[in-house]
Amino acid sequence: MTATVSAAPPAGAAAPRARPRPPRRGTLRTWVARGGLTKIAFALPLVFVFGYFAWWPIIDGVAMSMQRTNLVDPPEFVGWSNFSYVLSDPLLPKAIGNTLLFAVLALLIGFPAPLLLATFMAELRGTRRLYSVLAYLPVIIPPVVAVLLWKFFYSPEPTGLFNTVLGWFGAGPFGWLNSAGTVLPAIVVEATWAYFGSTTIIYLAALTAVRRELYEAAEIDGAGILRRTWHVTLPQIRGVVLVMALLQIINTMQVFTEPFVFTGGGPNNASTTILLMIYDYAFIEGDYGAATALSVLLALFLGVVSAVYFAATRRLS
Amino acid sequence: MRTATKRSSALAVLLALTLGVAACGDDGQDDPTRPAADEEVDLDADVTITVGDLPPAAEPEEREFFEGQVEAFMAANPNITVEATEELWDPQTFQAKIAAGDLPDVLAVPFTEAGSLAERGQIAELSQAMDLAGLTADLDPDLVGLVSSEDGGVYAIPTAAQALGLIYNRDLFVQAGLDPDDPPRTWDDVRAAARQITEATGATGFATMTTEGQGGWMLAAGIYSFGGTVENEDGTEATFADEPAAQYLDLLRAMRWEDQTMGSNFLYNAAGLVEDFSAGRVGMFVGFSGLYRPAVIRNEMPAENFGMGPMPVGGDADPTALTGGVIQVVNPDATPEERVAAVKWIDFFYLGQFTDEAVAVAAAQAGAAAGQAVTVPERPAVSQEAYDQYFEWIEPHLNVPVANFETYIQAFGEQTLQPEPAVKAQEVYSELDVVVQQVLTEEGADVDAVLDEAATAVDRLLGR
Repeated sequence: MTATVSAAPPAGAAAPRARPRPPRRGTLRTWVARGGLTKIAFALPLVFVFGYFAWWPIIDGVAMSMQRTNLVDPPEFVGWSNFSYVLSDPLLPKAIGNTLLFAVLALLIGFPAPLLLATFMAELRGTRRLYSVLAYLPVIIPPVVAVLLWKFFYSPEPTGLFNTVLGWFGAGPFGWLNSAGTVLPAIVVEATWAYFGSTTIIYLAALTAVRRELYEAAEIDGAGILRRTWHVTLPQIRGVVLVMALLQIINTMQVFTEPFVFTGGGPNNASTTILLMIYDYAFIEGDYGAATALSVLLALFLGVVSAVYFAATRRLS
Repeated sequence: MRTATKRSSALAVLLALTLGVAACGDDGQDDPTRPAADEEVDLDADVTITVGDLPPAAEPEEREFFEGQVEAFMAANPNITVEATEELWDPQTFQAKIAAGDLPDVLAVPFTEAGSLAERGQIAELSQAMDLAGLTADLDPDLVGLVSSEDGGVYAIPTAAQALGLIYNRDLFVQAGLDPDDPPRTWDDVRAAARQITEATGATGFATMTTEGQGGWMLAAGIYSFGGTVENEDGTEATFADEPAAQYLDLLRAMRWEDQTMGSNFLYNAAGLVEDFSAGRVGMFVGFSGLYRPAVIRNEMPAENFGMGPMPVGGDADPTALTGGVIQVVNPDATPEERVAAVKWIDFFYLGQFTDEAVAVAAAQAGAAAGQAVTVPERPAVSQEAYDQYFEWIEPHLNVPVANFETYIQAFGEQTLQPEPAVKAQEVYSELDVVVQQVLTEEGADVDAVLDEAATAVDRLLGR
């Protein structure tokens, strides 16, 4: 390497720091003169939009979890009774179990798929763009339409798409959505198909940031594609992988559209998730107190999960 | 991305809720459903009401008829201005609309919701408005009783009623060697016919709805047909965990697992079931006569294949059919004057056809021109005489093969017409979905245990 190159500061390194100015007592006039009002003017619309549409509803939602309301009369404060009502719901353990099972299945089936696909696609040269488009196609189908499409695939009749194909090999017909044992895996497969495209694109973008020299060095050392992936690719994108894993856990714990449109939570509550319970409280029973109480509990739980996850993976990332 | 959509939808719900609280906080009164007793009502004051259920632009003839009726109503009541909107009943948006104060003053709602909406104080009490408006229609007092409270409050005006019955595919009946003019009258007959249909045609002999509360609705109908009940009279306890429900579920179990005549789809809502029925894949199911419309108009089932008979009778029970229908409810925020105007509109538009030949004929003509079903026989919301008279007026415009409903209509006189559970009907139905699903998807399901479990869940709901 030449002296010129080695003298250049590496990308991202801090520029030489200017000598700190002596602290000056801030007066209103100097604050205004430095553009303080402009800053406020820029920030205000944003603060207002976030405050009104995001933060205030959250605070109000928490308040509603301790109220009983018909949305017409003034709400009545009921303390913790909404929480005790939802926590004593005999369906809650089943919904929690289903939600966790969904999250685990999604992690097993849905998490490695886009990672493998992105790694494979990154190896391609000329056709990567084509494969990116193909992988992303399911994402542009509206979720409800995708579910209705897959409902046909999962038809329990021997003439259903999957049952027909399996029938060629002498298997089935299976009930798919009509059986308590297969309904959740069936929904996870659809959800994976529907969402893996966007995750794949994110991984692909992360992979382009991996420096080619590392691969070249590994290749010179005699590493094959598997060892290159294991020792170069994964360590280089582990930050992205860990964040994606956390996002996926948070998403799958809030799964709603698929079980709602596929089965409505059936058969026999085998696909009832926590969000479906919240929906039922709110829109079937008109019990907004119970619905927000369960929502608050879910939000707290996810907050704790996220904190624990970050603490546990801090070293890795 | 998933995160974004999930979060934003959760936020949207939260937002709807919170805006609701804000709205309540601003306009809350002590009891918004009832006007103060001593309040003076000025019947000549200028009022404006919004009314829902305006047909969409995709149905131009019906929309034109509706708008014409609005003009005619305003001409007859110069102090009332009517603004029509396309708002429809939708349980998912109703709460948000009520919270935001966006509910039309008049909206059509299923009978099933009446009890819960009244109990929550989300619809207006109408007895004073009905007295002042002077209803011209001769309403069936039994139906009015179903939307009334113990202290005489009336919370809705029933404008269409229905009794559940056995809907069957006449073509499949013929193929199976059954008489399409003599549908099964008992559940034993239904079981035998289902076997015959499946053997002869390969189609599902008998199917039932199982999701979205409709499974519970049909289970309730089955329980009543075996002489059982769903709730006690006060609506404080579940009463279905007993013999009649067990008998009905045992019948379903036998048809599903022994006879194999119930097909392979056990996650049907009404729309899905009607779709398969219209395509000739299902022989029989329990439903209401209005399902003729989605079957024949939307799914293009040949009208002559649609047949309907009375609700089957179980065991030694008396013939009993579960009834329901459509009620018109009024916004709880409406002023006394607006309530009177709303009742006048309901009387004019929904019930006028039962008192005025010109209105009946015009409505029938508009419906026929729009390709709608004119008209599906149902249990009358008005007196039998008024209903018969109405049918006579519109006879030249009928496009529904009314003869295919003959046994269903004849049975009205012989059946006990069973109202829906008085308290939280929709919520109870939702709990009962699971019972039907379990019996149809788990071969060894213990019917008594399943019923006990559901009864515990319903007790909890009713005790809330």
